Amino acid sequence: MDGERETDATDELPRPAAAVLATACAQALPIWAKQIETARHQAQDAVVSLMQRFENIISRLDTALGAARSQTGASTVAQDTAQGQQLLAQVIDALRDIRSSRDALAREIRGLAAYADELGKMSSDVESIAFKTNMLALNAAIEAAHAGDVGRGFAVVAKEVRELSAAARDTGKSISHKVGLISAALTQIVTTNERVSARDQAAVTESEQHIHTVLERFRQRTQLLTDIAERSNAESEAIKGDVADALVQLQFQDRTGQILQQVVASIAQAQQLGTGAGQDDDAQRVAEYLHRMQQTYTTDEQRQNHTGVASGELAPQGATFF
Amino acid sequence: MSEVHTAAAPRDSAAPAATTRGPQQYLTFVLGGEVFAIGILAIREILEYAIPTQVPMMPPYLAGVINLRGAVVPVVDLAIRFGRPAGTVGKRTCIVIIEVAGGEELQQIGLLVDAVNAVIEVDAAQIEPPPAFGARVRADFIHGMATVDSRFIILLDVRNLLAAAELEQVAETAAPGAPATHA
Amino acid sequence: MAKRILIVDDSESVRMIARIALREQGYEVLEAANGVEALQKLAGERVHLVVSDVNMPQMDGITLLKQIKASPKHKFMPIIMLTTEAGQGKKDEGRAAGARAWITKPFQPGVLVDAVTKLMPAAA
Repeated sequence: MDGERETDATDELPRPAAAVLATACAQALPIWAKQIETARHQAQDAVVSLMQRFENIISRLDTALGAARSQTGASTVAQDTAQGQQLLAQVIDALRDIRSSRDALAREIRGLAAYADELGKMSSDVESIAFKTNMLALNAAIEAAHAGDVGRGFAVVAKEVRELSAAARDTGKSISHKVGLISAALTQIVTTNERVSARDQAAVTESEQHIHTVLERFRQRTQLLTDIAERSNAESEAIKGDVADALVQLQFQDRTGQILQQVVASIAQAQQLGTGAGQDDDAQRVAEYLHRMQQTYTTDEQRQNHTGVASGELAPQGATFF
Repeated sequence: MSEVHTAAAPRDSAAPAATTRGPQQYLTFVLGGEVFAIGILAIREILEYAIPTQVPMMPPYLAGVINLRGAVVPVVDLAIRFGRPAGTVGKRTCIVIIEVAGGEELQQIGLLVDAVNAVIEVDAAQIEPPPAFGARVRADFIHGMATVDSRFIILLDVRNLLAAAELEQVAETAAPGAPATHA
Repeated sequence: MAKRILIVDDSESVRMIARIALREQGYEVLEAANGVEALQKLAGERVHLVVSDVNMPQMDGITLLKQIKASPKHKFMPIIMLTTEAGQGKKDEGRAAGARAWITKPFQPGVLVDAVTKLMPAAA
């Protein structure tokens, strides 16, 4: 409207836009850390379990082979078993690779924590400088109004405003620099994750071929072996049980993939927060961001990590029929 | 003699007159989510929040007293004065030191507000009278209403913020034992 | 003809596991990585039962479920949901949309096989 003029001394200060990013990171990081820990924990358990299963399968194959050696087809079974061992060993290696690349990703994400802490501190420094500067400017305006345009008190105050302004500008520059580093780190993480995912896909496909080959051969051999001796029967039943358990454990890849995928997406959204910030509703934006994060979860343990409830153990359930 | 802090020289600390005299400056501040303003000539300075010292037997709207360069200044919790629940202290909470006429001397009083915004100019022509009903603040506290950047600003009349009797009580708080009337 | 099952999941490893478990039982297994592919496969091939994930890109499992049930040709198709989602809310959504069973991940292959056996229609 006509006839107004605002004297607001914060016009020249950089808005603490990074404050939003820092606040979001500070609140989200403990949650991301828990999600990653859950994923690693599951992956570790699953791989250990799988290795045990495969060892069982191999040793039972040996036992079954012993019972059938006296019968026909012993040498082909021996050949199959040896090849089976080789293939399974390759599968275990591939799974180990997957686990270590997940570890690398998790390490990079944790590296963010140090940045976010520093950023949080600097950002609150800037806020307090901005607040003090505004106060000084307003007091200066008050002095000026009382004493006329030129007053001794006003000159002193104006000088202090300029000094504070310079200090805030320096801090602001540091923050911009740090935000740049964080952005680079976040981009790096997203890139790494994409590279890792592609490699993992290939490793899983290869593993699948190997396992399928082993099981196909084994299925044929199982028939032969169960026909021969009762001890073989017992072993082959046990092997089937091991195989079924292995198939349950192999599902970890899907689950930990989902959990890590969600964390990476969440990080990307946090980056978005930083660029649009600077309005009065910053605290609200962070709250909405955390709320949206909750809505992207697909597993119970992700939800439990978010709300702070301890995660229970993952056990396969039965089917629910409608 | 009274310990009440007085200005070195009397100043024109009354709220700006309603007669058109060109645009007047106002300090805007926030209280309970609403924007208020006080004429700048009534304002002495703004302080960062400091916890006021409690004084016994104070009316509820007095948050306590603070030490301002050796002088004792009472602090009014403006939210309570307006009949609302007390606000919470935040990062931007401030104390606005105003000067009101108390008898023949000037009385300094601190007002506790949620945040101070800026100094704006408002032309007397933009000031509308307070609404007849629905105003959530006592009508005699209000000097008028103005619309700035499509926000309503309530211009306060600080002269009426504390009635004479209350002013006496406040002065008592600032300087217990002083004589009831001032010379 | 051998009974055919369509497994819909964006995870290679889950499809692999389901494929292994079901082929062991003599079923033929078709695969789709998302809802769109699934509908394409259903249009071109004879399928007796569908197993589907819920969280998938392009089209989620519940939407796929509704679309299958909406077409006259597949109105009675038995559909089993296989998903990490364990919440009652999502289960209710699935039931309301016409799913016949809900299996949470991680799943035991035996549980999937049992559910398929129960729900597989007897007629050719």
